Amino acid sequence: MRIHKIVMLGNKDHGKSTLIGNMLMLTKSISQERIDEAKRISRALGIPFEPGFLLDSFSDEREKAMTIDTSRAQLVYKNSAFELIDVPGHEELITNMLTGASSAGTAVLMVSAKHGEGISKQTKRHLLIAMMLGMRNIVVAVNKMDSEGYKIESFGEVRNRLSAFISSAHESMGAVNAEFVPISAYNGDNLISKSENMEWYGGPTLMELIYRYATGTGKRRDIGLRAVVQGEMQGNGLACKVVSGRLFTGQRVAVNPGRLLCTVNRIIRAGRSVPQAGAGASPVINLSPYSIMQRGGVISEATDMPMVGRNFSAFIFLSRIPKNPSIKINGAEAKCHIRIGRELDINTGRLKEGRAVSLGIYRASIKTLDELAFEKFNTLTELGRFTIYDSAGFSGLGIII
Amino acid sequence: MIEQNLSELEEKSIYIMREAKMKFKNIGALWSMGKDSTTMLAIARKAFMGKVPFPVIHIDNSIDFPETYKFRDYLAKKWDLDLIVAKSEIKPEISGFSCCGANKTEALKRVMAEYGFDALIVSIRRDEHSIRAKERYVSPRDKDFVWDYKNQPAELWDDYSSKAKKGGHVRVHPLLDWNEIDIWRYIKKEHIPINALYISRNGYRYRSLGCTHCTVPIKSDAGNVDEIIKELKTTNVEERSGREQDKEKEYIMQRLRSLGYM
Repeated sequence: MRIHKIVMLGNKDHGKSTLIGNMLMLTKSISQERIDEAKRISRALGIPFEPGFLLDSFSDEREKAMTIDTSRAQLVYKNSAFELIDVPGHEELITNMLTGASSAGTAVLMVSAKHGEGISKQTKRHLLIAMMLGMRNIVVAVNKMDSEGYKIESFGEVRNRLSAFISSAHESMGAVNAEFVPISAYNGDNLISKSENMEWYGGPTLMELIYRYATGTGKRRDIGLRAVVQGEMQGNGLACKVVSGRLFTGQRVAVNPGRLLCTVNRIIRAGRSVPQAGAGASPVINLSPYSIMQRGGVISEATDMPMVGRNFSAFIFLSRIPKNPSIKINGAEAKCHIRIGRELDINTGRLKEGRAVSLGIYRASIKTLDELAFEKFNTLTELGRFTIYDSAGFSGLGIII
Repeated sequence: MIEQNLSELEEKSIYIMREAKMKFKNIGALWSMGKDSTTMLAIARKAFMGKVPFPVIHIDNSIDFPETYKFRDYLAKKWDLDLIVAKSEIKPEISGFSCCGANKTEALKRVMAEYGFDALIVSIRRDEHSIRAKERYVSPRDKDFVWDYKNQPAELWDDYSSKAKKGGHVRVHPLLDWNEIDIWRYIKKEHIPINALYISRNGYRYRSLGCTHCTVPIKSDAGNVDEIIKELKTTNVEERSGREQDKEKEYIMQRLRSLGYM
């Protein structure tokens, strides 16, 4: 069964973990034993039962009532399987948020309707990062409707303000579909079944929206053959990963950077010789003539090569300003220079003149020391995204535009 | 329990194990002779042309089940495994948390030091425990084996680039995405040999295997792999419900793992 991966985004304390915990319980996707444990801990801490504890399993997370690191849980709805990914909403834990969000195809953005909470900078930042990572369908869950007396006005205010922000971000980040649903994550309103507390809302439940967006996303775009070189397998050939198209024996291929022209002699998949390997496979291949291939090299048809070069334009998100950065793209790593261009204004979603600060999103020109093979993110996601590191570790990510 | 695409799971596990083999100098793998680590070895054979290319470590506290020892020797010979047996002493007065901590983890520390492993393959899965759902595919441990779970490194897309700090090692988790039922479906599909304790005898079978002191069987009539799969489709009982060390106290798994337990 294919698992649709859904990430919950939004400001801290707007209810992401609580939502997932409650959805697991409402769809009977979690054992009584785990529910009992969460109940016992809630009692011991002297608080009402917290469904978020089904995800937040570290003692520190429970005692401080915050998500520190990303977690996942699976559920079934209408014979489709979903993996709900929880991430922390705190600014200082953005790396853990990115780790969780990076594997999702669809996002749920949580916004608390509670007075004094609402749309924050972090709400917008998470939304813009999701847009940048190519999530084109976003479900906005307007949460804590119970604390606002389930009033239509509270829902309307969040919807109008966030819709306006999304429209103004279209120009810089591209269009997204956003659907809004009023919920109470804690009480279970409009999660799986329609709430009687909000008769004024005629739309689908949250789970139904997730289902429509996640299962409705068409087949992934496939361009011609693109396989990434993982490395040499001690005399047995070249380990690689097919991300698009099809490898077959006898095929004339090029390996870039370097324009090495070869023929595929043999394909070994999971220990067996096979005539071909499609997207998703990690085969070992023999190419002739044999030559040392670099990690991160891209194998394609000889007549249809990827982009190759040392310069490209990108959107980048910096969790921290790197010193002497490198980028990593498909296993290749290259020292680079990042020239910051315009900044995406977190308040308006529009590009403006800016300077590099932590937690900012920028247009940037990247110049690498070594030649790399890649694609634009919109052409082939896997070959168009990269991470940014320096000697202190992870400092951001980007997409090639 | 959700049944995932076995071929996708297998490819990803193969990719992760090859990444580990290419990036680290000296890899070892833990083998408890249980279903998960045995499945991991079956996948490693596929990833590396039919031969497991790293030593497999049995942390032997001498109180594993007789069936477990028998299965170990059978498969080590059949698959030509490079088996390391790391003996640990069981003290009768120590049990539960202290037992896993003091005996298993200490024995692991000794064997890691003796062989100088910089990476250790451990066959944990997210669905086993909510603490394990918080793990990375490649996760650093410091020289004292401590898991700094509050400061885990980024791990985006297929970039498993975490490195060990000086004196430490990394844990590699190639089966993190698998569900319990996927393991059994794969065992069936690939005809992987399994420890006899998983099969029901006199109305009981073991669902998760530890040592004789801390593991209790579940009520089950599942007499073969097909029947185990059928049983798992409808169960609402936790896989590790027969593992005493998990339940002694709150956060036991967090404490065990943060101190280096597997």
